[in-house]
Amino acid sequence: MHLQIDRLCKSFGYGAARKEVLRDVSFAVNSGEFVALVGSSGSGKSTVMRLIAGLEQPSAGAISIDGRPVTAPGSDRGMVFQKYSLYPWLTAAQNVAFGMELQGRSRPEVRERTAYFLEVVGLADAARHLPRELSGGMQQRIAIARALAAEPQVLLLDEPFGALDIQIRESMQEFLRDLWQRTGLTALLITHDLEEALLLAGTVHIMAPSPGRIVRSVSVELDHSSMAHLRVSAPFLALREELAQHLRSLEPALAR
Amino acid sequence: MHMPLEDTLGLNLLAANQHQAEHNREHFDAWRLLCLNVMSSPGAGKTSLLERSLAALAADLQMAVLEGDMTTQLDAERLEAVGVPVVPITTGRACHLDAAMVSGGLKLLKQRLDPASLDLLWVENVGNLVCPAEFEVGEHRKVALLSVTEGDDKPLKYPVMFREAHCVLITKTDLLPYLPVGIAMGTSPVICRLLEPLMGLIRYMPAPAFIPLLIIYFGLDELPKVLLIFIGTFFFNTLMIMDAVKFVPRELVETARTLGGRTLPILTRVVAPFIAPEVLDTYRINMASAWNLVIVAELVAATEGLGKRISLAQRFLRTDEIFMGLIVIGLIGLLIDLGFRALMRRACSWAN
Repeated sequence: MHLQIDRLCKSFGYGAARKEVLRDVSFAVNSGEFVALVGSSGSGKSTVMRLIAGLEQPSAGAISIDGRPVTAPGSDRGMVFQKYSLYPWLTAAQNVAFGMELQGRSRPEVRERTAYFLEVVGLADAARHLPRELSGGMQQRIAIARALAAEPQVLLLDEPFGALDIQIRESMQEFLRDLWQRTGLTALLITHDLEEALLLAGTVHIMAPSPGRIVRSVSVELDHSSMAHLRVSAPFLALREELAQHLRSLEPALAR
Repeated sequence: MHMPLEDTLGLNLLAANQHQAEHNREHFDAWRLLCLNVMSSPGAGKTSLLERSLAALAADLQMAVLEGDMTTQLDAERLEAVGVPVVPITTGRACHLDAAMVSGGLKLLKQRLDPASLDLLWVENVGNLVCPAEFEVGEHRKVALLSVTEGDDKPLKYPVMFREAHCVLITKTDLLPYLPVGIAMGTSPVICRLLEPLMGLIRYMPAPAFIPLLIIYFGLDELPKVLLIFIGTFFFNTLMIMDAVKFVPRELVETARTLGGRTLPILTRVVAPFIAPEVLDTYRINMASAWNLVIVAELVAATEGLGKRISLAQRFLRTDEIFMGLIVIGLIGLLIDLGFRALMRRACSWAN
């Protein structure tokens, strides 16, 4: 799988109200990679994600998967939203099964894969619970299981832990890293949290606002074997500080 | 795109058929009758259309039917019941009637009656949107049927049929109101802007003010009461449902789209369950006004019913009967309300 984003531009509105949100954004994601887009709010990172998902159309530029252009949403690109997007009237298991049912898979297959993916995200016990009976972190894990069960070629994560408490956030980061290592999935993460991006991703693209563009791309070559250890290791902190400074320098109000 | 048959087969099948068709038409013209070729996909309502048309026209016109069917004579038997001569033509493995088969059918018809006495000859083709469009049978006019349940893409997918037809009948339109207007308004800004001003206007007209009109047009039976309740609740319900649809969280719809969901599954599996509690609640609240309207209608114009009893009791100053009537009305209303609450608890427990 090769996801190619090529000189993507996006503007909203017409005439005087026209606002340029993205200018010439290009990058690629290959099978098995974990790529992150980091930027402050207004840097257009969520717009990049919505364009890749096919929920919006670019003003210029192209998105393709293995050479096929992306024009509409499809189950080859699974998406996890920041806010809990579980269907509140379905149980955890029914939510996981939802996408597979839309795909028209056979009932035994849906049942088997639902059980498997609930197991993968460690929530086999919660199968019969309604979303409101689950914690925020559990809900996001179900949303990830639902996206994975539909067999996407790339998983799009739009600030998936943005609405969670800091402790749950950290355990979810470890969960996602672990999931990535176990399943070999391909992931594109959107976050405003530099630390989260560096902990999880192999490649980090830093985006700056007005108009949204990529100003720096870093390949993270750190020892990811223990996340708790990594968080406090010297090379990690040094890289984080350097990039944080770069990010700050991009904000006109903060750069004095 | 579409390739004419002779191009692909190297045969002049269609030309041979055309020749026979012209021959048939000369006969029709000599007999001074009109021939209609009725075509559609299976189950679109050709035979039902014929049943109704034959019954409606039987008094004025002399008619006969050539009934094409692959193997059975079931449709022919249905039409024979109307009392019009029917000649079944079983096509065997062919998926359409051709001019030669119709010519054969005409020979059989001639054994039963003199074609010159006919005004109208119906040819009911085999249920199929493809081949019948290509094979003329000598008809003067082609009629195509399209039922609403087939989907609006059929004229695009079978262009020849709908281009050749002189008349396209849309059938099964009685199913349309079941596609709730409110959902259509909530999902489509265009439909919303078209209908909202009208709906808003009618909603402010007091339903009881329609009673005189309804009595003039529909008398004192059940129908005017049903229509009164419709007028009194439909517009309010529709606007409430439209609002409920507008508040379906964007994430829920977009998640379904990224999972590969298309419009119809999103409407039935995301929008409909999400708005169900609000719809039930709207119905529950509106049930009170519907119940009011029944009693009002009975007070003004009825031959029986609780409202009629109250107005009779008034005439004889029987206040005890009036109180009894009020209590019964209240209790029935309460029961309806409790029923709706129980339904909501069962069907929408997730929303409580």
